[in-house]
Amino acid sequence: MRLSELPATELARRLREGLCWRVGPFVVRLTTPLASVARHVGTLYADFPALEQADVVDAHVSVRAAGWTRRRVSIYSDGAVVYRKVPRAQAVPLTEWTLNLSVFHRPSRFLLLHAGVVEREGRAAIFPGDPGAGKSTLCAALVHRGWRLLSDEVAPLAPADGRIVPVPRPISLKEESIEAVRRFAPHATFGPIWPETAKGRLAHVLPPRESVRRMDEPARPAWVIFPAFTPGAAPRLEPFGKARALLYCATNAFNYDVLGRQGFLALADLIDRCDCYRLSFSDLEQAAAELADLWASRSEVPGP
Amino acid sequence: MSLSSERLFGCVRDPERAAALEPREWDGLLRLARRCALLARLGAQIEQAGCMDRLPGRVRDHLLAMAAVAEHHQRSVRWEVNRLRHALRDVEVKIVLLKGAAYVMAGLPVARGRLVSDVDILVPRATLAAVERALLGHGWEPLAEDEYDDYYYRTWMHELPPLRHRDRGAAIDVHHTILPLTGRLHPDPRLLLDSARPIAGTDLTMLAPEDMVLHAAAHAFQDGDLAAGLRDLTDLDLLLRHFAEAESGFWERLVPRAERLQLGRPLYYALRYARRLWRTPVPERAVAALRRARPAWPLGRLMDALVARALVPTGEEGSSPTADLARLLLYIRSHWLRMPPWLLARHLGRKAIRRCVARSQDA
Amino acid sequence: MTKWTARSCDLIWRTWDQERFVVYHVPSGDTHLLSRVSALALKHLEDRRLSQAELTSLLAESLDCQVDEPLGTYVEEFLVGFDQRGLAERTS
Repeated sequence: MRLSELPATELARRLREGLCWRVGPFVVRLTTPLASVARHVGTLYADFPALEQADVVDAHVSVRAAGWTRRRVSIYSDGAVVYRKVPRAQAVPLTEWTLNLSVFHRPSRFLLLHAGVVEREGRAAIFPGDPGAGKSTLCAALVHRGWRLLSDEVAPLAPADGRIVPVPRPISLKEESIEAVRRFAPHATFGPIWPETAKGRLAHVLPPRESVRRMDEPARPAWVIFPAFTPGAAPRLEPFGKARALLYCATNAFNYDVLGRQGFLALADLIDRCDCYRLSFSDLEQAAAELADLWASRSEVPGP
Repeated sequence: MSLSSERLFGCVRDPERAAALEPREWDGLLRLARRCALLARLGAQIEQAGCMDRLPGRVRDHLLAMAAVAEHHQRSVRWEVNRLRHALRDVEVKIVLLKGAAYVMAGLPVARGRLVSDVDILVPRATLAAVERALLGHGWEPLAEDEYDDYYYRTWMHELPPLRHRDRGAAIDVHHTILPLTGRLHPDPRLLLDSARPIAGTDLTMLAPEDMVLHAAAHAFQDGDLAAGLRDLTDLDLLLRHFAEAESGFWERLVPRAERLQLGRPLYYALRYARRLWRTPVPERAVAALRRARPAWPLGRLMDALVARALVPTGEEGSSPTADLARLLLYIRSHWLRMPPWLLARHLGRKAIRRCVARSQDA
Repeated sequence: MTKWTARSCDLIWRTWDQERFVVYHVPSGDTHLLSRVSALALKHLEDRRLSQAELTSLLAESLDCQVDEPLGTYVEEFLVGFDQRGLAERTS
């Protein structure tokens, strides 16, 4: 049963006791009595399946009122405090942040790439990048133009078969990106804008229903594309050296060091199979067009 | 002890129990194990007992992912030791590896599933300057926060300030004794150095078995603030079990050695709490021999209570006030043992002031 | 005389253009990006014991160039770098 199918009172009740849902391979449990957080969960995770019970949960997050006036909240992950007595107005963005932190910053059998990933008809494009490079914005745009969302920020790569496992959670956008994506995709569904987070204004874009529905379908990577948002520049897609691409992805994978040799071989295979590019763009229409061309020019023989 | 703690310790002691758990019991157990820093150890015990395949898939995934973290730690420590030897190859010095680094390099059972981050070594005091020079020349930097910390470490404690490698980030602690100079107990480091044994297959040395156990006990009950209490007690349990079997005459040597090194009291506590928690087999004759070292009744009762509360992790969110208080008292105790009162007051005062300043800067 | 060596079992190589080489060093877990010349130098050291002079002359052969001072300096710098990172080590 999807979260959207639960009546509001039922959703609130289950959240008070601890509600579990799955995001890709990860199971989260959120416990909170707070109405604002309940509303947010109901909106942004509407299409996600609620779990009746979960034997093993990957992330336990709980959000409670705090301070003697109860006007603040504290947020816990696995029982340890992450945010202590923050203003209630920040409860929702910080809860979302804590959910992500809890799921991804723990030991994993996947190689966790710091990258956005989208897929179209069996081929995935990986966008590695530092915060600010534009990968979340690019992903938010592309998934409203025929691409499926696998991830906007953390992409689990399975070392055994080289496929990317989907984690199609809500995409968080900051400041100008919010307007840019709204203009590009007027039909995209946004959550409310949060004005005062540490990162400035923040809003979440719902992952398209189709992306959520297909969250159990891993994808085979075909391209590694380094986005470079360059205001005023003409759009350009140029080849990027594979050796440098490998190093860059290694430096930016969260648990590359932990996986050791296995991590290196998984990345080496990835780079081997993929065509590597750098994409310079100054607006989303250009970027989408370049990528549509790239996709159209793929060889007809399906990849390995 | 709560039901869930008892279940966790029971599963670590006896991995077959873990294999018999209901699926829904695993979630709480994994979380508790994680908070006690026992997850890797639990996984290693289960792997060792051949029970891994009988666990639910998702549980296996968590345990195997944690095992990968432990392996990574051990690879890193091996490399740090490699770089340490590389840096000190032109220095005439006997290096004795301590604690985790020694366990890993010697391949002791206690190393399995143990997270190790830093390297600790013991060297003769006379070589301290040469060792420090060599390390600084190969990319290590002192970690002291300021001059006071530097002074604290060098003059009052038993180590150079920890050195951190500027590229790799790993830290190395160079000791010339194992307990602070200002403390009340003075185990003679020369005895430790003289009895050190080679680590097979390398040109490194480690403490003799009895000394290794006594060092772990000193670290847990005299030197450290019991923050890693459970980990230290687990180490002690595994060390004792291993040496009891692998070293003939081990128990006969342990207690006299403790007395020679003035570490009778820490050993008393170590054996007492290891038996309670891990059911470590300790021969009656050893217990009897240590009776001399036990604390007077009120102190003993207090320690029992403090340790029991401080070791078991706090419950769900928030802290149990008694556990926090217990930890605080043990922290103060360990510092009390390290420093005379006037110095302690000054030290704690400075740390408190620094914390207040830091907090006011964050606000 | 100082000889240098590297262990091939410790090094995993990848290249796609024979110009930039990636090498994963198993004991340290480090991943390095090497130029063609430094990669060649390291490969020459694999499972052999070479003095700096011997390495310089082998490298000159591979590059089809003269043994001269600049090349000698490169080799010296490579060896310092390899030594610092543990990619190669001194041996007798």
